[in-house]
Amino acid sequence: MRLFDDELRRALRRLDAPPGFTNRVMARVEQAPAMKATSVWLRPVQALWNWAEAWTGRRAALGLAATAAILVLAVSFAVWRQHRLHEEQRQGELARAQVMQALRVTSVKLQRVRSRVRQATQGGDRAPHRDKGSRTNRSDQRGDLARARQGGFVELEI
Amino acid sequence: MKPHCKKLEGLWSIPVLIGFGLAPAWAQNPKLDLNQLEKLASKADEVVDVTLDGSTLKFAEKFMEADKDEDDAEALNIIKNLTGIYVKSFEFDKPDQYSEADVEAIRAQLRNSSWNRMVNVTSHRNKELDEVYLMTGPDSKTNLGLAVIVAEPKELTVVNIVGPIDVDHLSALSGEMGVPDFEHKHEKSGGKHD
Repeated sequence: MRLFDDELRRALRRLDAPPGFTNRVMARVEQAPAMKATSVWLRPVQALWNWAEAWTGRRAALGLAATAAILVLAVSFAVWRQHRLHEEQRQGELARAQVMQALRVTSVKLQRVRSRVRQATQGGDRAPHRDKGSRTNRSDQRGDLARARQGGFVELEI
Repeated sequence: MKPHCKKLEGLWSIPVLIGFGLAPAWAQNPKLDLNQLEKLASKADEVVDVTLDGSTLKFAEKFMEADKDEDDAEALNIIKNLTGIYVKSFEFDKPDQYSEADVEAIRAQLRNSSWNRMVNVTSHRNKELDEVYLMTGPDSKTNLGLAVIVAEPKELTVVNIVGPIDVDHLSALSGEMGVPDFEHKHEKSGGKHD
């Protein structure tokens, strides 16, 4: 009896925790919710699988799972394709708007230049027509207009 | 000199030859570097900055063709063979927001012999400059590019179109695509100046 007591006392003697024990426990505690979350996510799948297996048998359950996977893939592809088409449409609209804006600015500026040249060459020494009329002044009209037309080039100095 | 050094001696000519070979190609490049104008965007009241490279233009072309919009037909004709459209337009609320050096940086690129200045309208009094440049191909019949500079005290616009472009076609867009019809308006008003 004495021997048993001694052995029990030895077995239950107070021992200090090994170094790093607290840190390891805390690390495990922190990991625990994540592990739990993963299992929570898998739980419905597991339940569904169990139900299908019990209801239809293992082979049929596998077939159902494969069909479901294909369906999910098909729907994902359709959604992705729709998104891509929508994105292409959006980029196409943007590119068209940019083309139109660029051509508009270019055309307006070319017209402005053409208009100034035409007015200057038609109107003797009068200053060329200005799109922004408010900036046209008489001193311009009396300005020293030098014109040179050489081989289709137009050079005007006002 | 050692024999192998003599062999290497002639190697210096390779980069030079490559340089000479590439020079005409570089000289014929109608794409201008407009990056130095980007700093003006922060000072400008209104900015139009359009950068359409070849692939974006092709994409727009395909999209417009597929869309079959009648309004796009004219634009489609113009952009059909282009490989780039670059527009930078700045409107400022007060004058002298850009320097002569900004304009000169663009003009310097156009002084290249491949560019022909078609129109130059300069008003020293109003500090205005309108210039149109065309780059013609080796056969002098096809246009390789167009550059337009319109500089006013409160506005600076630079347009660079890369590819065969019909300038008359482009400037004849009056009344279409929202382009104001200055010529027509002018004729209607009995040729009076605005």
